[in-house]
Amino acid sequence: MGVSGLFTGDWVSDLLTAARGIQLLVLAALLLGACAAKARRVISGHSLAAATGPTGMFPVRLRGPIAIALSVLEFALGAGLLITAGRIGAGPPALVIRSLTALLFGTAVAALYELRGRQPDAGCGCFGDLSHTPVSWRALARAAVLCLAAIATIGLPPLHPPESARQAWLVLVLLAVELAVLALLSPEIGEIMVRLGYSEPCEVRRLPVSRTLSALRGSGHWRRYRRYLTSQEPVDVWREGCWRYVVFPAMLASRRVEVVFAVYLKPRRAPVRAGIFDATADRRAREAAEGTAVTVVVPAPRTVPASRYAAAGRPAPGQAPSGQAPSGEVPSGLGTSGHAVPVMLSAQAHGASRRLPHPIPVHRVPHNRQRHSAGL
Amino acid sequence: MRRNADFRQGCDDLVESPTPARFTRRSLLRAAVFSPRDSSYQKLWDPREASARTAITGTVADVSPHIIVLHTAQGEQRLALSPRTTAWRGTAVAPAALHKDDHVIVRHHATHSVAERVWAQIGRVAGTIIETNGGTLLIDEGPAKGRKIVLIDKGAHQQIQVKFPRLEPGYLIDVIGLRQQGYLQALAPATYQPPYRAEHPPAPPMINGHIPVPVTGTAVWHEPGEEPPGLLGVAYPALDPETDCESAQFAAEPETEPHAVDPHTVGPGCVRLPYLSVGSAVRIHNECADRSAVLPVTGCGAAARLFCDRCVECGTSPRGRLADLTMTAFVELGGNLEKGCFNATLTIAG
Repeated sequence: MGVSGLFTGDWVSDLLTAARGIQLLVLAALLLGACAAKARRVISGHSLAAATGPTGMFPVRLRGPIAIALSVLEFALGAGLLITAGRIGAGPPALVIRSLTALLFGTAVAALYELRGRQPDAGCGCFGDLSHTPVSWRALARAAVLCLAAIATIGLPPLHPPESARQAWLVLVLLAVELAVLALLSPEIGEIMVRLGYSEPCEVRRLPVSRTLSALRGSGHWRRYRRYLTSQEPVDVWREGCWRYVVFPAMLASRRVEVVFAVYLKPRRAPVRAGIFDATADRRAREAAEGTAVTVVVPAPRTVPASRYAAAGRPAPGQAPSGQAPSGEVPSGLGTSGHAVPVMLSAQAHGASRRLPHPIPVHRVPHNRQRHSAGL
Repeated sequence: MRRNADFRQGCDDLVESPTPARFTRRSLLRAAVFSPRDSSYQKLWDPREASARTAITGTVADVSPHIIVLHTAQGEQRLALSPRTTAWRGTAVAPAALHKDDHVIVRHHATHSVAERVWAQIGRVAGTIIETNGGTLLIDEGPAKGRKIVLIDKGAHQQIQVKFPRLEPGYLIDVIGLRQQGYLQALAPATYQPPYRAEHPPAPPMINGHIPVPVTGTAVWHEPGEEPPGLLGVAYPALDPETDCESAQFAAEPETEPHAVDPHTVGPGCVRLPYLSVGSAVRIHNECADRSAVLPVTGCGAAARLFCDRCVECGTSPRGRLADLTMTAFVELGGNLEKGCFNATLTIAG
């Protein structure tokens, strides 16, 4: 085909007819997709009424019913466009469905424009949770393009399969171009790309303590320190960001110490670090430095029946699950009386632990602190 | 009305724990593995000298136009009143108008014993409306704090209704007022009402990689409840659900409590915060007063996740509450209690 042949009357007619036919499929897909995205939001436990979008401009009591009505309308129009695309429903039913679709998108343009003025940080809510970015000119342009597309379908004869390879290619090329334009105008595409490549930050990753303990017990640090531990159950477990700390009581060179393991919150091959805390030496160092015992005021403890914890299936805080007493560094009377608890707070604390005559090989690290690293 | 006695067993809490010292030791134990990043982390739990504090909590023993005498946990304290001293007791009043035995919190000059601001009988309730009866509301503040009764003052009803148009069960409320025997007399809205029901706070944007720090948002304050007076700390909204603050097993029955919301079950709220534990340390910066402090996490502030709101104390903050401070911490950081919030940034200390 020569260049002049591209613009013959038949070819242009084919092009326009194919373009109008494609709109039916695109509009139906978008309407059904929007309805499905909203349904997914409801299924995942969120309220449809709480979704962002133009429904947010209505009184609270009307938001739910309006959101439901909108979703039902989207489904009805999407299904109706498909059903009336062929010979079934051709004529007045197709005219009504396509006119209503054009009216819906025309209303959407006005509603989004109004929403942008009233609530600049509200998303359009077109595709449920995917549409939370504030309404921009892209969302407005997309609604306008879809409104024009719906208008273009009014009066379109029933669709039929392509009669030639050329027509089939034409349809495919037009479809690709239209989808590219819509993708360009859709902020949801960026959100989808983020979700596809999403890796949850370790700071908010939820990993059970049992996984942490499994990772710890498979580590070299555990094998190194295990023989010094006086209990195989931790006396304290807590988390800070990407690390979970597990504390075990231990006996080193006839002194009661605590071995602190830090386990990175990673599903597999979690790095582990370890350190030793000698509270007695630490207290002496602190008192020697300051000439007095250091006290910390803590609230009066509340006596909690152990049965409450047993009922909840968890050990009482500070109590070793095996029934052994917590580490000897915490005064035994703490749980029932005193307000002032001797606690060692000192930058020299770590220097104190250096005096331990224990046989464990250590790596010297800056700040003269004893630390064993798994080599992150 | 209250079943929080059971709720509380599910959470690590400095006040509620039978062994609170295990939380205070965590900073030391952590330092056995990692170098502290912040020197103030070392003295996180040290009791400070009274002179080093700028906020004093106590009850009024006597007040005259020139001096106020307080009963505090450390004994009697006298503070001078200057013409620039302001006082709040439901509204701005002259300091001499304070009543004997009023619970007060005073911010004074760091080096002089001159009171700068005095708040008397101030209280706050923030949570989900459970029941309403005219101007009386029953509010659920979450498992950690239980339920409170709010009586909206007739003179303040219109002002509160402007910012909280939906005073109906299932919606959120946050009001400031005068503490009375068994209830709060609400006098002013602390923020504005989020448009969603309490069980449907918006989800935060997804983040790849690490959570960006510092995190910016809103810092608010809470009533001390059973906390010791003068506690400097923060109820953190994102305690580790595995070891600290998961109370789903004690959640209210939906059949009997249709409007009760367990904040642990509604997602992370609209701001992503790293999981921490009681005993962790955070640095809070008050952007409005340009003051910052390293504070220990002393309790669970999961109820703050429900509020996806902004603070407009100095500019408009991003959405989301980062920290629910104790009153003393809020005042020491330069916040004004009657305002309810300040624009804040949060970083992990230690």
